Amino acid sequence: MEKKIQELYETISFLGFHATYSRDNKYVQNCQGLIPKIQEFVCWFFTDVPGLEEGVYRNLADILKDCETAFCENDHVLMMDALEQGIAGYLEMFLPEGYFEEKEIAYVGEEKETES
Amino acid sequence: MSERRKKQNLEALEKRFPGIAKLIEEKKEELLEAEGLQVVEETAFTGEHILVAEKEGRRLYLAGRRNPLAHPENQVAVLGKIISNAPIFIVGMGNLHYFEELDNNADESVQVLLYEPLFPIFYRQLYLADFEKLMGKRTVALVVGGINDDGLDSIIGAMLRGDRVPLMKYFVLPNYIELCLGRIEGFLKILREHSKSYFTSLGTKMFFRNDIADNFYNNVRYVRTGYKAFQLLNVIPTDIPAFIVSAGPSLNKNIKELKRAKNKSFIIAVDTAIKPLVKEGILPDMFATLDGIKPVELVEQEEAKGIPLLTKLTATKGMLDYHTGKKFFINEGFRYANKLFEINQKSIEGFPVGGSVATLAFSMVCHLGFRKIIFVGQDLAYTDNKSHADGTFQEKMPEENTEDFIMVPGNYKEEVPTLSNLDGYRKWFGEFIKQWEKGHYVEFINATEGGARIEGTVLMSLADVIDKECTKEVDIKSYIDGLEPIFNKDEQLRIRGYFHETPKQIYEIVRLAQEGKKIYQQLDKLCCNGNMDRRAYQKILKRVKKNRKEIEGNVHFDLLLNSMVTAEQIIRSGQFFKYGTMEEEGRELARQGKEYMKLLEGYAKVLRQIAEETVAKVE
Repeated sequence: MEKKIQELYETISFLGFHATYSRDNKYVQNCQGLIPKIQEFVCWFFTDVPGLEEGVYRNLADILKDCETAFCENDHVLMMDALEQGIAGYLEMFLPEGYFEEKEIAYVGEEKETES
Repeated sequence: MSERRKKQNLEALEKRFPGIAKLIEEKKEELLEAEGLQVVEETAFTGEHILVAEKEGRRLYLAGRRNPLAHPENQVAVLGKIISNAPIFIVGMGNLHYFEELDNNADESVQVLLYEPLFPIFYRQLYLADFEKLMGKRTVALVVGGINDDGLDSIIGAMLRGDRVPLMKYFVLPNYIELCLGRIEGFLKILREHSKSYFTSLGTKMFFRNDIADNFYNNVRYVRTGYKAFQLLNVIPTDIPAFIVSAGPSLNKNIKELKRAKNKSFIIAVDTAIKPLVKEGILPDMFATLDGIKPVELVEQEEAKGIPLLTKLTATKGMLDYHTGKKFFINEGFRYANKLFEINQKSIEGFPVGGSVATLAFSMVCHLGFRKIIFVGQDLAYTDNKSHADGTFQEKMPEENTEDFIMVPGNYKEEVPTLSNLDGYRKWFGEFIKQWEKGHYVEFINATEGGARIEGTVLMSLADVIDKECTKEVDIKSYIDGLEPIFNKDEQLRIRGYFHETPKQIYEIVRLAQEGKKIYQQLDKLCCNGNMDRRAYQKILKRVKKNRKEIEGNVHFDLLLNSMVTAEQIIRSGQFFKYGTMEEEGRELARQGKEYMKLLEGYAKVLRQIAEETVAKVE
């Protein structure tokens, strides 16, 4: 599951960046493929993570509802908010330790190589 | 909703944009109703108020429910470095964090245009935001749909002036495409047009850069014994029609007919149309040439040599050398050419030329006062997939693949394929006609039997036009033959003397460039010192300015400016970059300056050599 979580997290980040950087207006359509993966994650989360408070259930349900609404309305803002500010926060909890540090080192290293 | 906040905001806006408050109050009801858009508030998880737009049963968020600031931060981050003086365009005011975030990341010299295409969103923000605080000390242009959006084009144009196009950045707030696609497209079109005209002008200059000076110094010799286009004013009768004959593929369809118009009209042809016309036994009363790199073979016909020629100083030199008849010039703004008139207490007039040889010929006949102006062979499109009429570049012009061409409205077909430069001329004609008709009574007839539609023209077959309009005999040749050259013998002698001084005048630029290089070397040395003397720095900058002023004051600099456009562009865009320290700035300035002066010196030497081989040899 760890790999799937990481992939989902990275896809959400990439789609958000791509839509912003490339002025891509198909953000909502592009996110459609994420829905089964998000559902899978949420199911796993409810089943495998012990001791969840009711607020967490409500919050996740709210995020899923926003995703659904965003699809129906083709609402770019709501979708991005639900994914990047909602579900991504839960995914981050399960990213491997040192994930962000590793990424940073990888990117900085890449930049240095390009410069030289 | 706070009425007090709205009042404060209107007062703040009124201070910046006098008259806007009254307009908003006057138009608000009409605009709120017309848009059919409801803007409602919601409270975000952060506790702040965010806006949601409701239209035709759809509900679209204008800011994120969970974190309204997140996307604005990302959006501004992907813009990259915002250079000082850069123009930034923000479309949408549904979430003002975008503006705030940009404001935090750009220095005060950055100019921002806030364009809200949807009045109800702007109106709702009047109750929520604090515009005084929001705009602060920054130069902000505000355009609101239905209030002042008729000025959007000119505001964007003004913000992009002065070589700012490469520094420009823009973004459209998400969901605006869903809410008002047409208006966003309109905005992007304006941006595209301004950018295109900037790069087109840059591209044209680059294209000609090797030939422009060569053509100029060669052709300027002919001004001494030449004529001004405006000498034709009140000489050629204007109660006859004027035909502009171009070399579009449709010319083949009615070229034979044109013979009937000879001696009953004023016929001016473009250079490329000369060969097919001569072949049909039609000698136009005048022809025009303008391009700097046209093959002379296009007009190489014994009969064409003596036809009066309307031309520009930067036209292909071989074309003017081949031609032996009367040459007519216009004021193109070159100071060196204008000096030839000044030293003889004379002047030369100019008029808009539009960029193509056909637009040049057309503009001239308008300015001469003709009241019936007729286009022939002015396709401005690839009629039957051909670029030109047969007998121009080739005896039989080949068909081309026009699949990827743009489609524009046609004269006889709904749409015809064309290239963007031709479409640019088409639009130029349309715009010129629109403006010209405001002050003149003129009938514009398009007798091109194919091609693209020119706005403001009436379609008619050439045969019908000739039957209807060519009713009076006229001998144009006798009128033109009766003209005297601009300058008399004494004046021509004075010009010859001026020509002979030309290499010396150009050498002055070489000397100034060498001097400039030394000044920049001093600047570099000063900035490399650990402890820079600020007064000395200012003093050197003053010398830089003086040197530059002297260079720009030289009448030959106009030619250099066109020839060394790449170098000039580096300097012009470089003026907007800012550096961490004065030393850093100075070193960069010195580096650019030295490079520039080196190029300037080199080009000026080439120019001097050209002048020595042309004007200096005039006997």
